[in-house]
Amino acid sequence: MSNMLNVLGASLAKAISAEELACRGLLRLTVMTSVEQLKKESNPRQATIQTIAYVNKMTYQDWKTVIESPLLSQRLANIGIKEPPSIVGQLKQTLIEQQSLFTMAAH
Amino acid sequence: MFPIVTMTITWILVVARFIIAVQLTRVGLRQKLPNLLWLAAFFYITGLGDIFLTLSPVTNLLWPFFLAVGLSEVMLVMFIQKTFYQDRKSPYLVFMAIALAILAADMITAQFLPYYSPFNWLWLIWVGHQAYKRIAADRAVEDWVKARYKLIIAYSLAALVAPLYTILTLIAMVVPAVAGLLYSPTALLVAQVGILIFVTIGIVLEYLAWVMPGRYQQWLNRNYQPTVQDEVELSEEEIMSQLKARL
Repeated sequence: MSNMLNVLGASLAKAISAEELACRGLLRLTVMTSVEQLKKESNPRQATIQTIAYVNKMTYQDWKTVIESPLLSQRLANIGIKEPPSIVGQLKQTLIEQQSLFTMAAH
Repeated sequence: MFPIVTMTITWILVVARFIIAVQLTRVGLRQKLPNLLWLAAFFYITGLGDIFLTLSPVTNLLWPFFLAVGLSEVMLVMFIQKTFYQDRKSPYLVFMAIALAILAADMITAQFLPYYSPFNWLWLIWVGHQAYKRIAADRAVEDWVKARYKLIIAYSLAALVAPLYTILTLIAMVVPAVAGLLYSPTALLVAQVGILIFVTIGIVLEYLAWVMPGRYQQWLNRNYQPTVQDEVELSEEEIMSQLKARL
């Protein structure tokens, strides 16, 4: 499992007072709908498995693109978050502060 | 006997540096981490430098070793910058200026020994420690990852011994009493042995940090309990309804 997905999921969970599992799922869904090759998979379970495999290889720039994409803000608004930019800002801050994890978790 | 022992140890360290460099190159390319290529360059350059140092009694060529020491500082600055400071304010230009000054000094004024800089290692210790503190208590981060942070800090501490000797030689230039002590045959021998010991310790720690044999990684992770449940259990509808219900 991606260390960065765990860390961002925990950060999101803390920011919106929700379960980490669901927050990781939200981030995973955002990745799935952001990436062309993942959108093409019609079987939901296979799409999830492929997304998790993709997430494990995501770089700092990949995560930055996902966090800054309108898709994440839209999803946050859909679940009732009043200030999605604030939450997005916190996630970006977490990504910046924890960027060395990509290197330290590389093998 | 002593020269043979030191030469043997140095060749082993050269091989270790190249193994680390190759591993970093492979991982850096595979995982699209260009910062690891800077670190790989550090190990390739220092390995090459050590080869020239070892062969210098025969070749009389010491300047490539001095060049390697200076260039490796530049590589280290780039690695630290790219690993810890993307989209952040960074003192990178200050450290790069120091690294380039050290490189120039090594090429122009160094005669018997190159100048080793403590600044990059101190920077790496500082920034590594700051980053480690943020994840030390995080159960989502695996233990072997946390261990890598600690290994990097540990080998950076070991790497400070050579720069410490550089500082003493600079002091010796202006304080005759220090020069008298530092350049005595006993002190020179102690310095050579001491630096070799700490360089060896440093490379062992670097090997463990960046090559990290599988069994060693498993041992580091032996007590780790993943907090993650099976992601595949939740569908999109379940995720969205859980979050909406929570908020």
